[in-house]
Amino acid sequence: MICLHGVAKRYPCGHEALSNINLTLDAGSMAFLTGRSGAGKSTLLKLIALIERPTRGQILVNGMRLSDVGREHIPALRRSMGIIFQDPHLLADRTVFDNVALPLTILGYRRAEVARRVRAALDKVGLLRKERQYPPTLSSGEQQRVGIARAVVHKPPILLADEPTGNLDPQLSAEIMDLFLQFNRVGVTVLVVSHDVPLISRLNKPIIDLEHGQLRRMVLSDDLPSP
Amino acid sequence: MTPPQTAKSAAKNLSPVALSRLQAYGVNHVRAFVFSLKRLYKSPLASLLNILVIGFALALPGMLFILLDNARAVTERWDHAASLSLFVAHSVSDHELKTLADTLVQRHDIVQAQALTRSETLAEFRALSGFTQALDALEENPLPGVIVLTPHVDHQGPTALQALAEELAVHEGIARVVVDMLWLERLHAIMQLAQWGVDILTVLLIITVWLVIGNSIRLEIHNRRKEITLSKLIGASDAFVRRPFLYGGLWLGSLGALMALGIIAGVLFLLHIPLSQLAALYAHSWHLQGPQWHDIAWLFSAGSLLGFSGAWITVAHYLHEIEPA
Repeated sequence: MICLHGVAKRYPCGHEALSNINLTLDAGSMAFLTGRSGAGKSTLLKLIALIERPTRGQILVNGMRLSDVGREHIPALRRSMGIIFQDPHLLADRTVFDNVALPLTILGYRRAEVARRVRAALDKVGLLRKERQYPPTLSSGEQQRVGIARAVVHKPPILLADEPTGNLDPQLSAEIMDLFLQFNRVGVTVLVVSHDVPLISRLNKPIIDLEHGQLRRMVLSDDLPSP
Repeated sequence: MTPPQTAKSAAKNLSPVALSRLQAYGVNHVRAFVFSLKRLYKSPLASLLNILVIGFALALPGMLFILLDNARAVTERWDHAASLSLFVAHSVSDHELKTLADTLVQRHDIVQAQALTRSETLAEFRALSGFTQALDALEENPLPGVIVLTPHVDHQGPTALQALAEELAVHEGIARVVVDMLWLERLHAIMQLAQWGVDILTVLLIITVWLVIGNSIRLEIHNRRKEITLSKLIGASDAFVRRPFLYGGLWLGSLGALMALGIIAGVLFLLHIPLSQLAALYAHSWHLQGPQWHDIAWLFSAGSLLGFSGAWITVAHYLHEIEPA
């Protein structure tokens, strides 16, 4: 569960990225976060993953008050979530298998267990046959799916995605979104940042609209006027 | 709402049931150990150069210590030549002279006391000096009786010798004590200076080893910046990120120490023959003493410790700078 109470983020330069955000995302639910560039979408995700800290307000993740999470406990918080970026941040000198295995390596899993879980995750994103390849040899859609496999391989209860379909064509984008829906169906809390409104409005999930750092409206896709 | 839980307990829920924290810790250590070795192997030339630099930096003081030890062993033998000459008063009879020598040899700091009566010293002088005729012209034997003392090994240092001389000078019946100490003092001063020189050099080269290891770890951190950022982003602890670099430093340091041992062995092998020839000229049955087991253990631990600490300092300094943004 993710819960924000009166959250604001002001950068030292004076720019207020977020002001007075109140938002609750129940455990096992899924929502999209949309808005124009610079509306504060990425900032919101960064606050939830403790990449940045809010200037004001309170954030709860899985019952943890983030203001109580000290520097040494940030890794444990991050291990409880899978984070997907627009640029999948793959390591070019490691195979697809090794890239996906990274979170399990951090958790100290044994080799056999790592192999089993990595293959399951790669199978889920349809890349089982490419486990020995290196990321640069993959298409951008495939790279993004490797990033997704890495984010879910350790079965985190929360999945955060920042513009995961940002540079993919419509068909690939739809496939990726479908993956997120599948993860949500098995109980993962999913928050996806996307400005592909036509795509996300078809998915029948709440859409949170951010504008100039403020929560403008929270709509169910059914409420959206048909394009 | 569920009661607030700690980040730690949340992480525990994620850990596989079969895998205890301790096991995971062990697995991570083994992985970091192997991974850091693989990194060295992946860039063999750079690694070899680093190991060579560390090897030379460790070999130099190591070798000087060994040579200094050898020099000390030789000069200790020279110390054995240290002796005191006690010139007794004219009034002391030959018999009293012998008794005095017997008394002195009882002392714990003296191993030998050779008494030479006045007539014996005259005979020796006559034989060695060539002043036979001049001595014949004298009515009376001008030479005093002498006791030549050989101090115990533990009392052959310049200070101990000086103290003994001063003590014996006030002894009844002894007119003068002569000890030829200047050369001994000079020798000890030179040895002391050499020791200081080696110590200072050692400190400088330890700093060099630190800098070399620190620099190579710094480069490695720079090259793997992306990986570090990503690891932190997906929940790697500082310890997890730090570990391969610390093992990397340990590898560099310990392999550098092995290289140093190789270099020392090579140099000693080359020096062995000319040094033996030199020793032969002095009619010494002398052998160049190579590094002992404890020297090897010392060098190896020093290298490993330097590698580890150098890496630690560097990693502690740079790792905090790399945070996901």
